[in-house]
Amino acid sequence: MNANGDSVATVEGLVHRYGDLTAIDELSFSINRGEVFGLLGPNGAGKSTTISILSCILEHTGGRVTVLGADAGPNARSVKARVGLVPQEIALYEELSGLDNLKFFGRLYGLSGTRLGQAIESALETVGLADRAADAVSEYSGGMKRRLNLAAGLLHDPEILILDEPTVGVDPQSRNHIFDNVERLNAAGTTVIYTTHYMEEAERLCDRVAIIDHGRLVALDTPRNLIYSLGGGVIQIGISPDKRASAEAELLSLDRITSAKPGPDGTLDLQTTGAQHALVDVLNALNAHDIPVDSLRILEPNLESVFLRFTGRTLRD
Amino acid sequence: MLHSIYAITAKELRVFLKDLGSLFTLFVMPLAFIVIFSLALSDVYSPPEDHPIAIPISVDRAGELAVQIAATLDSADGFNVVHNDADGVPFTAQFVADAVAAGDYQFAIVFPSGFTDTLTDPARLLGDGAGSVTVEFIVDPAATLQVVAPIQGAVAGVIQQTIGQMMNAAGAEQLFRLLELPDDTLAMARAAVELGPATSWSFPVVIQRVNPPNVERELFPDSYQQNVPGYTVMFMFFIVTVIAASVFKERSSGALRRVRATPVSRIAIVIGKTLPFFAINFLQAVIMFTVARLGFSMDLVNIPALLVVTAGLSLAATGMGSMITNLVRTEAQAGSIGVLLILILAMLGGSMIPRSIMPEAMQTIGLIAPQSWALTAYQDVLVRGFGIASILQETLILIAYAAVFLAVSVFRFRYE
Repeated sequence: MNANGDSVATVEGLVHRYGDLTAIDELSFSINRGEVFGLLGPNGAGKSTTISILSCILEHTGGRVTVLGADAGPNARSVKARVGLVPQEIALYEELSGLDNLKFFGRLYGLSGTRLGQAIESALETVGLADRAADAVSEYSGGMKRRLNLAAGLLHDPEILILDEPTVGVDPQSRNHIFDNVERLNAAGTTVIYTTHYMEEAERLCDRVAIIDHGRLVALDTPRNLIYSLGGGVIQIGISPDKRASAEAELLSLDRITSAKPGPDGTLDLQTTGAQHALVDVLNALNAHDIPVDSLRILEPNLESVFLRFTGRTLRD
Repeated sequence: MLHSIYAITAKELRVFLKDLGSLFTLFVMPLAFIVIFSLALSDVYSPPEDHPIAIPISVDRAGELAVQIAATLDSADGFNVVHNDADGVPFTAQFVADAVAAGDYQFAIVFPSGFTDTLTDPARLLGDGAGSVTVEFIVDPAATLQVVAPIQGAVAGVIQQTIGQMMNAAGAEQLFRLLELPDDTLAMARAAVELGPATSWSFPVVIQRVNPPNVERELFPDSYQQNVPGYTVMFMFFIVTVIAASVFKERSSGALRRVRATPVSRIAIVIGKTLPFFAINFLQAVIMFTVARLGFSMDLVNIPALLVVTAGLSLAATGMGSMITNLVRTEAQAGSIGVLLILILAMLGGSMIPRSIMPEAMQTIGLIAPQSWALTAYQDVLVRGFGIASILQETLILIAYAAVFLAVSVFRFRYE
């Protein structure tokens, strides 16, 4: 964690529509300088749209977004010069060598001569591809392409680095390499915006995580606080509506149940001091009062469970 | 198994019906071709009286016989003769020659001053008829021999027939006067002359095919000089398929989206992506002309002028390629709609069939095609032997086309 509380990006009431489809719906948050800010959500949640707007490649249809003190938008060239985007797809020219790709993108950021050479050398060093720079990208493995994809976003030493699902489809070695790079860049002062639907990545890398679903902000906090909100875990139990009130009163009397509140899809969310142990007590209590259980789910204390608790869906739905 | 066949067939039909490019290629393209080709060639396959060829004729100080020939020619099927301006003043020889040089007409006829007097000179008529009068048949060198030859033959036929009759009648009249024939005999003799053959004298008029005054080329350009410009112009516009492939590949890979995240303007992207194709396109034309020169000894006449036209043409072709690429939704559409458009414009512009044989309305419509300006400029250099100054206007028009095409490209440029 390297955040110093100074905001580098603010999103206020952001709305974006694709025709009749509302992809982002009144989204608000701010990103602090020096932090790794995670956008967590399933496919289609609005993560890529949000970072497209933050990286000034998409004009939003409502709300206000400022990045590094300026309004974001496709014409915000001064912002673009200070932001690095590493897109989800391998946005490289396969016929060209890794070196030629970096030269191209470096030049687009205004680099030339010695500065360009040094930037390329540094980026290749960072991602560990210096010895393969002369090879055509088409000859790279998937992981190497991902790393070069990252390198192309680092050339101009951006203040904000936006990584859109950078580990999709990569081998564990390359994934760890990317993690190390993100941590090293963040330690050097780069603010990182990181989208993923892998909870373990968010837990490992992010100082704060915004959980997004259907274009809305579901939760925003540090991973620790989000997980802590689950206590010892949550039991999500489905009970018919006519029996729910009596069941809730009965279950709240159990020692291992700290609270109960309505969950998604009509379930009852039971906060526990330990989900596995509490489960036996819950089932015994319901059985004793002849209350049938329609569904049952245990949410262990992690971000996946946080997401499930707030949305009723898994990250991979 | 039948169920599987049904499932596959139904799926294929659904996919096909969603592919507008294929539908366009299979249904609209042939229809458009048939209609436009038929319109362009309608004059070729219709009676000549439906599409008379306009020929300005100078009968200035040439006398009554020349006027009569012009009138006879005008009354013949397939010709529309003009020999006076709006005030009734006869066209001068210089005027009709300049009209051909300017491209207003493909042909003109000049009867020399004293044409009638010379041919009806009694001394000549009663003498041995030696010597001849030259009528100039001015032809635009870009007109193909297949078009020129029958028209020249028809013009010669009318002149020969009219003069033959006049000479018979005029010569006989001189003779009758000398013989002092009585009136009734004279009437019978005149009637006999009217019915007599027109070829009893050696033909005293030479029809000489000449170039317009500003053309310094040989009269008959070779096959390469006629064909290389047309096909060069047509195929240079096929750069659209190459540009589309490049842009759509870059879009689908996400590279263009990434480029959008850099502080680079759309104008810079469009120009940066167009310039290399301009160079390739230019090189394509240079190679075509080089092969024609080295392999087939084609006379390039004025290489700097050719390069100037080619530069303008390459700009227009790559600009159009860029515009089409940015107007269509898919690479398949660029391939079908783009190629159809190029073929139609090539035809309207005269790359496939000479514009001169098209109906006048189609010739006017053809000016929409940048190909027509490029082809005119190439013909000015290769066939008419003009220099750089004469092709600057066409080249500037091509550059203007390129500017419009590129402006549309910038406006419509999409990163994804």
